[in-house]
Amino acid sequence: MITFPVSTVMMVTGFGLILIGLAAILLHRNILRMIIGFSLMDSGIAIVLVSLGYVTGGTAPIMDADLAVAGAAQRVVDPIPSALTVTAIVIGLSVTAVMLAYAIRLYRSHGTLDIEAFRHSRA
Amino acid sequence: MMQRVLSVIVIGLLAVVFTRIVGAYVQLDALRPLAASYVTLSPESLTTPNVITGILITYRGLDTLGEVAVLFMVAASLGLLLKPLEGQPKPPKAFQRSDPGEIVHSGKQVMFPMILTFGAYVIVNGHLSAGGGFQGGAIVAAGVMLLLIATPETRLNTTLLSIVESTAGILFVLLGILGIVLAGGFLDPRFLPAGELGGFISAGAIPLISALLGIKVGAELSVVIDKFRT
Repeated sequence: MITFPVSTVMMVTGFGLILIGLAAILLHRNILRMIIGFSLMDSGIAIVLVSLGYVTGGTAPIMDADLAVAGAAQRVVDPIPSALTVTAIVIGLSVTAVMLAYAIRLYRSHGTLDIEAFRHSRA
Repeated sequence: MMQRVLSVIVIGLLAVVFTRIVGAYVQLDALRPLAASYVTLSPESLTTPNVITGILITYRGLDTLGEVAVLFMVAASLGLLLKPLEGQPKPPKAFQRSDPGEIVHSGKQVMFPMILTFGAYVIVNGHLSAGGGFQGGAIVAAGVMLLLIATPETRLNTTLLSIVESTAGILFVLLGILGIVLAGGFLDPRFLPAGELGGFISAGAIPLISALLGIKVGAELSVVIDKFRT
C-alpha cells in the first residue's frame, strides 16, 4: 500500500478546492455562486499555505510542559505560513463582505443577480 | 458555449500545473533558517511560548496593522455600498422575517454569555496558547451574530462600537510608537517587564496589543454583520 505524506494530502485537497472555486467563478452566471467560488478559492489557498509549513513529525509551535524550549526547533512545524494564513483568512473575509455588498447593490439597482444582465450596462 | 469550453480548458491546464507542483514538492524534514530563528528567538527574547503570536504581533506586527486597516476600510465602505439607492422605489420585501423559534431563542440565552466569555479567554491567552486577537474577536462577533439571529429586532449601538474600535486602533499605534521610544523599534513589545515564560502576565506588551486587536476585530466584525441587515 502506498502512503502519502501529510502535506501532499493537504496540498491536493487545497488545490482541488482552488480548482472547484475557479470552476464556480468561470462557469456560473449567478453572482452569489461566483462569490461562493471565491470563498472556496480562499479556503483552498489557506490549506495549501499551511501544508507548505508542515515538517515531518512536527507539532504546533507552542511551548508548554510537553515541548521544552531547548529542542523546540527540531520538533515544531514552520510557524510562518500559519501566521500568514491568519492574515489571509481575515483579508478573505473582508473581500467576501465587499463582494456581497456589491451583489446586494447590483440586485437593488437591476433586480437580478445574473452576470449576463450587466454585460452591456454602462450606467 | 465557446466560453464554457475555453473555461474548462483553462481549469484543466491549471490542474496540470497544480499536479506538477504537488508531484515535485518534497515535505520538509527540518525548519527553514528563518523559521528556526523565530522558534528559538520567540521564547527567549519575547518570552512568549506561542511562536505564531510572536510572529503576528512583533516580527510581522506591521502586516497585522495593515490588515486591521483593511478591515477598517471594509467596515467603512460597507456603509456606503449598502446605503439605499436614491430615486428608486425599494424592492418589494420578498422574505417575511420569521420567528427564529424556541431552540434558537433558548440557545441564545444560554450560549451568548458563554461565547463572549470564551472569546475574552481566547483573546487574553493569545501569548500562552492557541488563540489571539483575531481568533477571539471572531468568536465574539459570532456571539453577536447569534444574538442578531435569535432576536432580529435588536439594535446594535454602532456608534459606540465605532468609537471603541477607533480607540483600540489608536492605542495599538501608540503602543507601537512606545516600542520605538522605549525599546528596539515599532511594535517592539519589550518595553514592559518580560515576566516568566508561560506566566499569565508575561511577554511584555504582547497581551496588551493582543487584547486591543481582539477588541478592535470583535467590534469591527459586529459592525460588518450589523450593516448587512439594513
